[in-house]
Amino acid sequence: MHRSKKRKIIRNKNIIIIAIFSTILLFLTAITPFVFTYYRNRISSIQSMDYQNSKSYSKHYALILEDLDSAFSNSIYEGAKLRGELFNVYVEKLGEDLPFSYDVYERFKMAIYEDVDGIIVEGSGDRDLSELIDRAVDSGIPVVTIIKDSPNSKRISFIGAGRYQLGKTYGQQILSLTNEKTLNVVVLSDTDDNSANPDIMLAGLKDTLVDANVDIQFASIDRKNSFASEETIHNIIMNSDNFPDVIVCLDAIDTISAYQTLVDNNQVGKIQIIGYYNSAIIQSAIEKEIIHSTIVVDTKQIGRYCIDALNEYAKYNRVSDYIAVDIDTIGPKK
Amino acid sequence: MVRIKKPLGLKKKNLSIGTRLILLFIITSAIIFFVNMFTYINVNKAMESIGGVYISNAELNKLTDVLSSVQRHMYEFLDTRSSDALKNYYQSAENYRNLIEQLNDEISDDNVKLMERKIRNMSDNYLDLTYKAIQAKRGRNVSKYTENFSAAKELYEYIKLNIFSLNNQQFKDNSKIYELNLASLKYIEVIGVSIIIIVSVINVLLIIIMTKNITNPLRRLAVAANQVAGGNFSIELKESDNNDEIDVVSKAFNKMTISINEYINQIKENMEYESRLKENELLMKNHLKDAQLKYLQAQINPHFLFNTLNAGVQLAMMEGAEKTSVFMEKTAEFYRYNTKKLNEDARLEEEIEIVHNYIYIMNVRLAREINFTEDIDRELMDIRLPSMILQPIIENALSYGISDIEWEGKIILSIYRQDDKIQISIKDNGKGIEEDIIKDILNENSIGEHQTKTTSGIGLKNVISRLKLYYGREDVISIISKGANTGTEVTLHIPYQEMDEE
Repeated sequence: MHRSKKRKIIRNKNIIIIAIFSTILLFLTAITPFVFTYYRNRISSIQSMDYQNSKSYSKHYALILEDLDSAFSNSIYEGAKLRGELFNVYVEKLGEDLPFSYDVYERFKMAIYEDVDGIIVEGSGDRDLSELIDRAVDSGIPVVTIIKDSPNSKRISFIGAGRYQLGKTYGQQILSLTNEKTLNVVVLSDTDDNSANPDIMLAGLKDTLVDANVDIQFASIDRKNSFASEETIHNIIMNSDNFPDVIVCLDAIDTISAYQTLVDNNQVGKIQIIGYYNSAIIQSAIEKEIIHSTIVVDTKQIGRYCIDALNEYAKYNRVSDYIAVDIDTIGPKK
Repeated sequence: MVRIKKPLGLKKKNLSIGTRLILLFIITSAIIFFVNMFTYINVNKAMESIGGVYISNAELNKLTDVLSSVQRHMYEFLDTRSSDALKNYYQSAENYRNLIEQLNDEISDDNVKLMERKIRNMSDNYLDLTYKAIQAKRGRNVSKYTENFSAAKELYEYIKLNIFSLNNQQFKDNSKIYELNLASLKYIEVIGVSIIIIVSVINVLLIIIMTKNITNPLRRLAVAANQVAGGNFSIELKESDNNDEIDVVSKAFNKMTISINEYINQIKENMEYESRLKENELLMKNHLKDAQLKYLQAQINPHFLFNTLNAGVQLAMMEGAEKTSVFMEKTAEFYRYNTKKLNEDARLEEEIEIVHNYIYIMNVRLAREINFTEDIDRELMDIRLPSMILQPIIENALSYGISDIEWEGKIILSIYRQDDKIQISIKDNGKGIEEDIIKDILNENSIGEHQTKTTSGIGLKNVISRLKLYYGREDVISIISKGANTGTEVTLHIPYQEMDEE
């Protein structure tokens, strides 16, 4: 009797084990297709995620800058892009995705062919660019110039620091460095700046320094040639005949090049730099007093204003010819 | 799934081993097959999607090819004005338009989408320019078609560049997807193989358990059979709930042990019956002996003689013949004792008394004194023994031992206790008895046949039989005779203890 009970228990145990195993087996068999299906769906959803998560916009503006990837350019782009998001406008830094680098003109042509809704371009006095601007405007694409203007073109607006104001700000910084001795100042400028604009800036500069004991010279940098600024600055400081006391940079790249050249050639403290734009490098150089001061244009503001100008133009078919952005000076703490 | 559960599940009632084994095999195979199949299908699908990863690149290459053919045919037409070239141009332009219409037209922050839109817009402009160039050529407007051609050529390069760039971008994306797919393929393989391994292990365990379920009853059956072989017939095999072959065998086995048990019981009963029969037979024999004894006693019933003798005593007294009267009285007493005591046992003293009577009678009859001496332990006078035992032996000694001898015959009766026995010895110095006859007498052979009647009508053999029956043992008497003319000693060995109890 006892024995048969025991056997029954063993039998029941066996049945339970079989049942457990069977359940596991069935469970595994049952979930296998689900696991695979779930897994495959996950994979394909990851694949199409980029595609589906993309946002569509009603307008497409092209931003065409000389430097595709400088901190200065990126800051403008960021300002424009953030502003664009508000109005459902997609701002593209044109040429970024292309396998080769193209100059402003070619990128501008592409923008025209791409039928963008607006072009923001770093202007210049160059006539080719003006012609392209005219062509774009004629085919219905409004163009805004920034930083530098293309004054003889059909661009709808120029957004940037007032050149005269900018000149005055530079002048004030140079003034702060004057003493009894005549101050040798070298201004790094673009070769193609044959337009009136540099003159306007120069007018501001000269007006500020009219009574000062300052000798201003201009060193032109060939913008079409890469690495030209470093070469030019090197030549200037190695020229012992006309050793400058102050180098004035009108460009963010020039500022960094000048700073680096001074450090490399052990000229720190002998030559003062008045720079343009602010970045982490420039900031730290100012703190180390290698760069005397830097003139800062609110780049994000430029970006924002571009979008506003193009939007306003699209809405009212007219916009202010010139929109000024703020100029600031970051300099020695005094 | 439910269908699989049923045979695998809790109860497998009414399934034969064969069916169970087949089911087990089919189910486990089916599970492994399904898991394998799912793994295979999924690996296949993953392979397919890997194969499809670069389709978009191939499509872009096609787009470039068609674009090139548009450009080529336009150039050919501008160069030669051939109608074939024109036809080809229209055809490829149409193809190209169809292709670019599939491209995205939305402004999107997705790089690929935006590029598609750019290519699409550029291509629209390009087709426009080529059309204008063709029209100008046909209108022979040289400056215009040259201008349009160079613009188209420039745009053609830009488009190619953008397609190239898009192709690059897509290749990058596709490579990511490819890697993802490859990784997923590996994961699927790992998952599949893991599941197959787990399922296989569980399958094996299941098979082991279920096989044990099948073989264990067989083992139990073997153990039970061995026990039966060892003589344990009371074993009962537990019948399983399954109506399988083992169960059939178990039931047959149980039936077998039950019938063996029944058979053994029957044999036992038979044996018991037989022994009871034997017992009865013995009892019968006893009864027979009892009857014989009664018969023998009946044979010597002397009532008539006793009454007659009493009448003789009265007569002799009346006639004044004293000796005759005493003689008759003793004779009467002798027979009265016989009458009175033959049905029951007697005290030893009474037996001795009757011996004295007998000697007296015989002295008178033979007209001489019989040399009879006694040596008796008086303490034993009260023990009981069957009646009419001593007298026949004395008579036997008198008539056969010393009747025809030439020397003076002597009879000695001695009664004494030896250990737990009372020895009653009757010794004579007569002719003796031959050994064969002693054996015959002791073995009570042919009782009744060689019955030698004495006065009392009781022979020696009868005495022996009665003693044996009375005490229930064989060694109650011994007869010793050392050959002819050496006399005989008959000794009765009467257990003392038992007498005392009575």
